[in-house]
Amino acid sequence: MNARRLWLILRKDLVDAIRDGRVLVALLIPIGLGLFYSLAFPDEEPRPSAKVVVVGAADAGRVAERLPEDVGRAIELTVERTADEAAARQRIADDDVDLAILVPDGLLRQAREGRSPPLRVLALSDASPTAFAVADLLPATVGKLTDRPPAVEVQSATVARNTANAVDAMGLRRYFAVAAVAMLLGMVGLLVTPIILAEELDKRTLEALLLAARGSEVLAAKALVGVIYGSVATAGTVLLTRLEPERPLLFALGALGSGLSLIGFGLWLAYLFRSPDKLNTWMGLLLFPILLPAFLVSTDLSPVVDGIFQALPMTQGMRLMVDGSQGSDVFGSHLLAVGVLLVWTVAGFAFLARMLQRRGI
Amino acid sequence: MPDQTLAAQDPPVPPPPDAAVVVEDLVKRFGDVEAVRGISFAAAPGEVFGLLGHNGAGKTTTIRILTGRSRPTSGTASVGGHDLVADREAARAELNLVFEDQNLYLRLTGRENLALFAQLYGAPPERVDALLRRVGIEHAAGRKVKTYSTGMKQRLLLARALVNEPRVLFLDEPTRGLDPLSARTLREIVRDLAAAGTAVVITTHDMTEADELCDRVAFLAEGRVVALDTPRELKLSLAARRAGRHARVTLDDRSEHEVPLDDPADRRLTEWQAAGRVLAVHSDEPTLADVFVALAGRGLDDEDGDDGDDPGPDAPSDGARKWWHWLVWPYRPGGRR
Repeated sequence: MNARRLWLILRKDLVDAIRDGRVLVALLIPIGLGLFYSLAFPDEEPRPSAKVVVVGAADAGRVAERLPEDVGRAIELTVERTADEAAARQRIADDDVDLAILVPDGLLRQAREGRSPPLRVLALSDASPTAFAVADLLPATVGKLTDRPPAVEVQSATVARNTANAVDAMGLRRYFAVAAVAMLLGMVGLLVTPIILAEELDKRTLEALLLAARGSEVLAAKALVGVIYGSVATAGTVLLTRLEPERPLLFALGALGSGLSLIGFGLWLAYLFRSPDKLNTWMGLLLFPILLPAFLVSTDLSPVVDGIFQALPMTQGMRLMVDGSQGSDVFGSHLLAVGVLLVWTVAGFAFLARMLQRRGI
Repeated sequence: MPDQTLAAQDPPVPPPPDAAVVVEDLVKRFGDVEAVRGISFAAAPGEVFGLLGHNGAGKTTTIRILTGRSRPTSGTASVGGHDLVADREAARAELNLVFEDQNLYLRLTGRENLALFAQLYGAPPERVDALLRRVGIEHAAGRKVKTYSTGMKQRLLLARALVNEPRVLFLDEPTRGLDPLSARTLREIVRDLAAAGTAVVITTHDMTEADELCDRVAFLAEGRVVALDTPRELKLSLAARRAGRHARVTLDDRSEHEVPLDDPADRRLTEWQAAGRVLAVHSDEPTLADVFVALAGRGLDDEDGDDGDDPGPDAPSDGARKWWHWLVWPYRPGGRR
């Protein structure tokens, strides 16, 4: 492979493709969607909210009644009651409520007697500051109920999250920003890059190129166009949507792996369809099922469906990007994700190479 | 019926040692279809060599092999002394091709198109402008090719094919769709190239063009060379085999008369000449198209479309077609053109 010829073809492709309206649209749509969602779901909510469950008998009822008054309008508070601590723990683990307040029997009496009874609260380890702000108000609430200065000891405990849920962990704005990147990479891998090659096939400019360069150089240039467009557009989307990945290397690994795993198959599809117009038409249909797993990573799936999805590149790419955008893992199993992406990348390019070999290019 | 007498070929002679193109017993099969069946010919430097034949005769397949875009099933082919299978890269450096399709990058300018290929071939940058001037489109060099007329695109194609100063230039239907002026300009450039020592191999359906341009022509039919000679010799061979040759004579009173040329008893032409009454004499000398009809047994326009004999290097093989046919419905096997 001649690096000079590869660079010349790559440079031509970069210039030629960006002048193609189809390519521009395919790049701009996901970026635009990411931007739209980032504006539609701002980080700063106008009024913080918290959902609290109060566990216990009679005293719990009084705490549940008094707490909203003390919180006032500062927090949009929803208070529920239950008698079952296990049920409360389950709801915390499921991220159904933000805070559980466990009110023991005789709490108010002991407080009145100045014995500083313990008041336990449960929350997820990454619960929102609003939930902890509510917990901080509890001594004052008990103090008001007992007409004494605050005389309870709040003891916090954390509950492990039951299932990974990217939306809950990241918030809608960040989740949609990552989803926009996934969509963008799908568009680049399965639409933009194949369109460039399909047009060369359709207009037969590829034959002219193959007189002056090797087939491997031409295809490597096309793949690199996909990598460059994918990287630049991903960086642009991340900046525009203010995603600020907390683990940028992991995020980049997920993005690059997703892009590469799709580009090989995209180029193969270009040979199959041989026309940019056909590609444009059919990929509108094919993109949906290919991208779907990326958007379902945060939903509860049956074990069979989940197993199938875990074998797909968009699922694993999205998982890596989600974890990369967070300070802690939502999904984990990064080695598995890298392995799946690697297998798909190798398979895509091997498939393409085999086809070229059969055709003597 | 094909004229088998005319179709008979001379026994094979070894190609000259300095031949620019040498083809020996070339065979190309696509599955069960044998598109090229043992073709042999050679073209010398400075020669304009025509490959003529009806659609599906094997012209395009032969050109594909000779330009290194397809591998022969058997036989050998070399360009500039380099074997197209064993030494394909070196052979490709010696050749270039004016494609039948105007396969240019429409969103790039004429100069950008040419510069890309000049750089790919490692040609000096100044050659780009020189070639644009040579083909007469330097005034439009900065315009995107999509704004070019058909004639301008064809000139740019020719310029592109000259960026590596090839020893052998292939032209596939070079003047199709061109206006007479553009076609003439292109032919003049081809003649200049040949005069400078470039071997030119041309495929065309235009028998007048072949007659005018080619030093020698090979007629292909069903994958075989059925005749190979100069256009003049081929026409004379056919004329010699024709019975009842006539001349059409127009006299000063605008009347037209057919006079047999092989009847010594008919002295009308001599008498009209003596009386000074002859305005015009048209012989019925066969044209190259007549030669073709005699060889192939049919006219050039009997089939629609282009050569359907070669699905191209990037089309699936027969096995792959069968495999994909049911799997991917948007793909039409063999329906690329």
